Amino acid sequence: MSPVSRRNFIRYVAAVGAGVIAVKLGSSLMSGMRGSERDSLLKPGSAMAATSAGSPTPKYAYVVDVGTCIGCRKCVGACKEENGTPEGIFWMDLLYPTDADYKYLPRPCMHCDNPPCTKVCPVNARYKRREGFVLTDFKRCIGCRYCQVACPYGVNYFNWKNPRSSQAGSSSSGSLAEYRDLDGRLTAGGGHFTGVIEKCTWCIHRIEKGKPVPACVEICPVKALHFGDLNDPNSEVSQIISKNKYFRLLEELGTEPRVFYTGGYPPKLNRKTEK
Amino acid sequence: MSSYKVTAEKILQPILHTSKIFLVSAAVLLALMAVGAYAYLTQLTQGLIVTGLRDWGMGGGIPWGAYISTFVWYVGIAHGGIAISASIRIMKLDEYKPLARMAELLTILSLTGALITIIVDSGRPDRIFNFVVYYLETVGDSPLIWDFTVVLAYFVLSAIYLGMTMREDVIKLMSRLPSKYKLLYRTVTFGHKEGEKEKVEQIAWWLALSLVILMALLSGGVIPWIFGLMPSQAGWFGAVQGPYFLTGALTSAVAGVIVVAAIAVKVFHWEDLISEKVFKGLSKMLLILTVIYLWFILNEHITAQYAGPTAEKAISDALLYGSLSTIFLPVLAILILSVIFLAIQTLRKAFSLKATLAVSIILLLTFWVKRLLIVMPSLLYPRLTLYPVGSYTPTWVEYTIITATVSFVALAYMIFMKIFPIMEIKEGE
Repeated sequence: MSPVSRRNFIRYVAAVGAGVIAVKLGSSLMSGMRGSERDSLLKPGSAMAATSAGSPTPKYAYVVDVGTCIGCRKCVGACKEENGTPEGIFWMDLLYPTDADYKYLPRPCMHCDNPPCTKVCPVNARYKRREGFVLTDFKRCIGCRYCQVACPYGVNYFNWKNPRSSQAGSSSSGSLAEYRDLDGRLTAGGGHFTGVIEKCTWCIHRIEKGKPVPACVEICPVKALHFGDLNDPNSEVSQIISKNKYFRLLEELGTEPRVFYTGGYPPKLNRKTEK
Repeated sequence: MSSYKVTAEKILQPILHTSKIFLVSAAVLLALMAVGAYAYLTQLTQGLIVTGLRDWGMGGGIPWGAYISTFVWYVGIAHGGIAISASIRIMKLDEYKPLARMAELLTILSLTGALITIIVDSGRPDRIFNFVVYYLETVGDSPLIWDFTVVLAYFVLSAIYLGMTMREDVIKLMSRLPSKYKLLYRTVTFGHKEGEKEKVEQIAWWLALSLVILMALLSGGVIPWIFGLMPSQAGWFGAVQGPYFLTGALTSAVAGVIVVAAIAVKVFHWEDLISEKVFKGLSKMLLILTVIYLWFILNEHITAQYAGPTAEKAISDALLYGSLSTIFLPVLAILILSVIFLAIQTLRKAFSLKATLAVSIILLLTFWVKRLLIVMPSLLYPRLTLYPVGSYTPTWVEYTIITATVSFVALAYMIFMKIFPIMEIKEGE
């Protein structure tokens, strides 16, 4: 038997390598297509939504009624308390649009269905789960901040300094116990880590343990925030979305955010020309 | 016939003699590296808070800044280095041959600089190997992983290329090379056979060809895709980024090669080895590339300005009349003035090596600033205008670390020149 020649060996290695990359690229393109299929699930009343109603996997969504919000920032505070976020980090934040028919725009993470942040992550620390959560694996993140740059909503926060040394209330760091999601990945609690990105988790540690809504939704005194399962046609979010007009932020970018705003028109997003 | 004559004497000069210039500059570079190391230690212990980088959006800063710009800058220089060297080989431009190895070395060291910068920018450098661990999960999606793949492939190929094309020269000079580095010479000439030269030349030709193709893909593709594929950031998204970046890369690389070669000529009196004609050719190349680059800038701004009040226009406005104009307009002025100088020099058929060297150095620095003007504006002016306009000023930590990486590249270059012949020896000498 003749030994494998160097030329053939190189050919073999190149073929296998090209094959692996082709399969990966192909599958990522396919998953892009599946993404559009997922969108139709979101549109209430669509055929897909009807057929998948009552399926075991929930499709979580978040609804903000900007017409009702009074800008009390209780959601912002509840989030900080629940998740013990470090100084300067606001997983839930309140924006103040100047060119809109309302004054306040609460901004959690959009948990997009076509999330730019998960695509760019070089180590898959940022990932999306079937129920809709877009999560960060704090133990895997290398701190490159590409997710932060790729996200058009500005929901990502980087731990520029040691979060423990700068805690507003000394006890709140890590006040939430380490929580590993159903995939076994550390995505909430367990403190905060220098050099690692973090953002809103839709309180996955609460939802997976059977609590119905995230801390921000629970505390809202005027019921402007809602959270629930779009696959359940009777859920509060399904009802609101099917009966009301809604908009999503920067919808034209194709990110398919799962945060729906009702009670107003989209804010105008023209930056005043600098002269 | 070609005018190039490389004598062993001339080539051995930097290896056999240690000049005062060498010692002084080595000391200075080492000192700069020490300051950079201290700055990096500060960054490691306190976190990236010691830089000017901050969260964008409500944070009012930008998460990518001088480090990423430096990374893009290094990769650009690396490309042109090998583009020049490989073209010399593929097209058999004998006259330019003395530049070949200089350009190759510039490529390898710039790539090292790029890798260092990426690690410095990372919040968790201890986890950098996650790039490899989760490679198969992410290679389909993440432009950063495409980048990592191609930079690594590029590094390996150009290192092999450099090593292979150097073996023959080391063998020829072996008896005259200092014996203290014998082990190194033995290593690079490992397994050398009499008459391997022909085969090596063949392999090197194919390697050169694949490097040129890879260069176009990397500099005209993978690096710009990091930005061009992000619709979230106005000013980045678009197909123009590929050729735009490629031109920027080639321009800064030609400038880089001129700087290295001109300094070598001045320090070692190699005027007869690298002829003025070669420098004239390089400066013509620099002229053409800078003009093309200016044309891309025009394209970018006219597209943004014509469209009307959009997020792209806000960024273009900021650069042309707004808060960033104090940086952008000088950059534009320097590019235009360089074009005017190089054009006059070419048309008048007068040539000054010193002036060309000065212009090249200025262009290299200007291109660094221009890279910052790619990374910075889009993040300062978020598309979601509910956020305020951000601000960014690099701190001493960023400046000293970046300076240290440049010092490292320069020192490594000098040390290489002290150990190995930096030019090919002509047949029969």
